[in-house]
Amino acid sequence: MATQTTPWRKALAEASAAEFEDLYREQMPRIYNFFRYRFGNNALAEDLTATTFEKAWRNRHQYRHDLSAFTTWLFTIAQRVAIDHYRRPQREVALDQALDLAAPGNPEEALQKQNDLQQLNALLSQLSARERELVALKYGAGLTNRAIAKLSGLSESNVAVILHRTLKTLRKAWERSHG
Amino acid sequence: MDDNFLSNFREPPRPEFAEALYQRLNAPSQRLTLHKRIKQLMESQTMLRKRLASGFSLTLLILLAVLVFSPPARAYAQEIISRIGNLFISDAPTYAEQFENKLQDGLLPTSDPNAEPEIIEWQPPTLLTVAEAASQAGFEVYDLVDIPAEYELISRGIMPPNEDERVIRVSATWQSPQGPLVFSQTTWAEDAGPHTLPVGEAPIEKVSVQGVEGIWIEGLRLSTYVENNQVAPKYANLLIWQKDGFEFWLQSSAGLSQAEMLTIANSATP
Repeated sequence: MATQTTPWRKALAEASAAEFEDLYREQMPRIYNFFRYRFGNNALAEDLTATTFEKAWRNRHQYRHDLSAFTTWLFTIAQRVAIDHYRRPQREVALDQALDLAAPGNPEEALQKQNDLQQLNALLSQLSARERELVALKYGAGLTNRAIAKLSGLSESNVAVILHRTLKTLRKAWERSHG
Repeated sequence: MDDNFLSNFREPPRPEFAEALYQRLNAPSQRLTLHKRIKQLMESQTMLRKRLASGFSLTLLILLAVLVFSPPARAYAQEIISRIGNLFISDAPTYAEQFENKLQDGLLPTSDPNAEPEIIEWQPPTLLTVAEAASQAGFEVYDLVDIPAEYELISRGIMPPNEDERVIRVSATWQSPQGPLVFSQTTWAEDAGPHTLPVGEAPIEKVSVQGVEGIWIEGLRLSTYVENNQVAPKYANLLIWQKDGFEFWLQSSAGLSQAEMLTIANSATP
């Protein structure tokens, strides 16, 4: 079930330290998982998450709460960061090489995380860029269809239809691979 | 199968990454607005008094005071030939030329050869790290990444605001055998008025730098010191641009070309 975002009404620049921390703790994992789902690489997701928040903080004076919800504003920045990353010359890397190592710690846990990311990539690699983006926003970031519609420029019903069809594709692929 | 099985692949970010990013965003220097920071620094003049202990700074201040308050200096006709934000570029004689003219006309005080020399304690230039400069300035400080190998960083300091110049300026200097490279980042108080740079006959050109429009000034006439009441003419190439609310100057006295200066300027990152 998609989570609901705390409404953000104050100008970001005037946020108190406690409010800023609340904002950060709420949104950072969502931005991080958006990039994980989008690119299938934890280290890259961290990098792009940091870039997104640094840009948001640097441009915080431009945020107008009367014009858009904070989530929409923040994810718009994240989408642009993703596009910028796409435009950079990329070295082609095979999917299984794109997995990064988890932080040092429990090796079994690290292996499990690696397997999970590998499964996720295997599923999402079959999708078009737009489908993958919508899946990343819905299931990675936990946004509602309405929020996704605002970000993507699609109607809410279009978003629902695309996600429904995408899930059908993914479900078939999942059942094929898991017998 | 539950359609939300895709959500099961979510993972919390690494705590150390989350904390490090939070600390970086929430550093005290970035929580203050620039306006408040300027007000705070204006209430503390300690740094300015220490800088005045340098004989060179004292000399420059005297020269500027003469130029600013001298009616002939202000009477130079000028035409605005370009503008970046609040900075107006005019074709009036450069400050160096104005100073030389006054020297020749005998309008500047000269030193008494019989007087006892005033001993002023030399202060080594300040060399702050980027983080220290950012903490003192109250904003993110840009650093140059792509510097030619023969240049060595010798100073980075903060110029606090005062009543005449309501700015906070971070200035860094790299030195090479051919001369210095100076990079400054300035923020102006919200109610600060326009400021002018007279370039005399130095050619100017609009260029693209850091993705914004900037100004290239070639061979700007400077003077660096007065010895036996003589001026040592110097020339510099300048790149000026405004971005993210800051005014950036990159000045080379070693005559680096426009292409070289643009490469250096485009490497400026916060």
